[in-house]
Amino acid sequence: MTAPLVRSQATEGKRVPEPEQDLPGAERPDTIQVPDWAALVSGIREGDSAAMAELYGIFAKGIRYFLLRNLGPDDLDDKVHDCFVIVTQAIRNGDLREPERLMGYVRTVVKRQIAASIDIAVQQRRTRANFEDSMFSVSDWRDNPERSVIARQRAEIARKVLNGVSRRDREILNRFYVLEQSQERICADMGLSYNQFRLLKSRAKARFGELGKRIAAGAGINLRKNI
Amino acid sequence: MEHNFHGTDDQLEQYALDRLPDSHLPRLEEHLMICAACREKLDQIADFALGMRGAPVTAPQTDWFGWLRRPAFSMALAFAALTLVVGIFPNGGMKLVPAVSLQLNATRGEMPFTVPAREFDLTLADGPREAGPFRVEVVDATGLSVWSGLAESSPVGVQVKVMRRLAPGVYFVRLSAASGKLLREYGFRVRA
Repeated sequence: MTAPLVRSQATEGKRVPEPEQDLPGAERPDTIQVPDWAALVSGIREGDSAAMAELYGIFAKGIRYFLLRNLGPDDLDDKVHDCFVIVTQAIRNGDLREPERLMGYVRTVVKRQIAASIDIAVQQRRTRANFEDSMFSVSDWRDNPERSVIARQRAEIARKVLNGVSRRDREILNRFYVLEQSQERICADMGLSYNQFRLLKSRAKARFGELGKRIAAGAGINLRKNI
Repeated sequence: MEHNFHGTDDQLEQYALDRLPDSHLPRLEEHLMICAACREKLDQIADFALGMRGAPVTAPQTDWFGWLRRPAFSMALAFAALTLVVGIFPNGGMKLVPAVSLQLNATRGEMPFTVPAREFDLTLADGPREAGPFRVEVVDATGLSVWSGLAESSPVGVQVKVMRRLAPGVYFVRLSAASGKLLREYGFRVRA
């Protein structure tokens, strides 16, 4: 049990150590290189294919990520392409008045595309009923089996982590993640400092990452077994 | 505008849990658009945060009855249970639990499921936490309305009690403003 140690340090007036990096293996560089947006926009306006390639190189993965995260994998390539068409047309038409805000504009385009796709899906669900779906409803409506297993593994690892901490720590994690209470409220209710709260979360995350790595290394996890 | 800023772990976690204030969203999302390292970090943090949210929080208990799960005992118990069920429901009637509670989120992911019940307490967790009343409609997989009513917001989202038996199948819950504007749509499945 780690939390009591931290509490006793805090009581004695010692400095509580800063939480370690939350999830090992996800080191980020201090800075990232930011292109000269004005030059890039200018190049695209002039029809420079290298500028187009640069735009694609910078944003393709990010756009893809947001679309996948919000809409899933269906027609993903088409949707990414649609976003690029909208952005490049806007640039060529001179609609982008502040080239340095290119990132903001791309984000807006992606958000609109996501909203539009959701609207279309809702409308289609209201107005269309596939014959096969309504008459012979044998298909599995859940996510694909791989996603389902991942979700079960994730919940099982989290349960193992929760079962491995003290009742008090479990309550803190439960309040934050399940009951969605704010960090300020939890700290106030339970007499915690901000650092103690962060440290607890950090250790839980480290344990989560550790168990996840063991699974990735092939150790597996028995999804049915209770601890 | 400076774009080489990485979101903090706290911000990424708040984002993964849909709790990041709107005022912080543009900056973080614009950064995520061009920073692969932050996207990777976000995935890891989201894995943890969503796992915690989805894990049943129960105190660890001593496994006094672990022996019951041994194959021999399990099979004997399963047979006894089957006999009991056949005895109680000779006509194949479906046993319904009085009520079930279900927390729904309008995010893409695995569709939550529940058992058949006489009534359903639904919490639309990411619904508005103030204003209202809201109109709630439950439709089946073909879009046919099976229940509708009004609901109020609460600190944990919009809560509604669906006083209706739902047969096994997929259902969608539509949350609309009083004006009729669709706000969110949720899905869940009642298992056979």
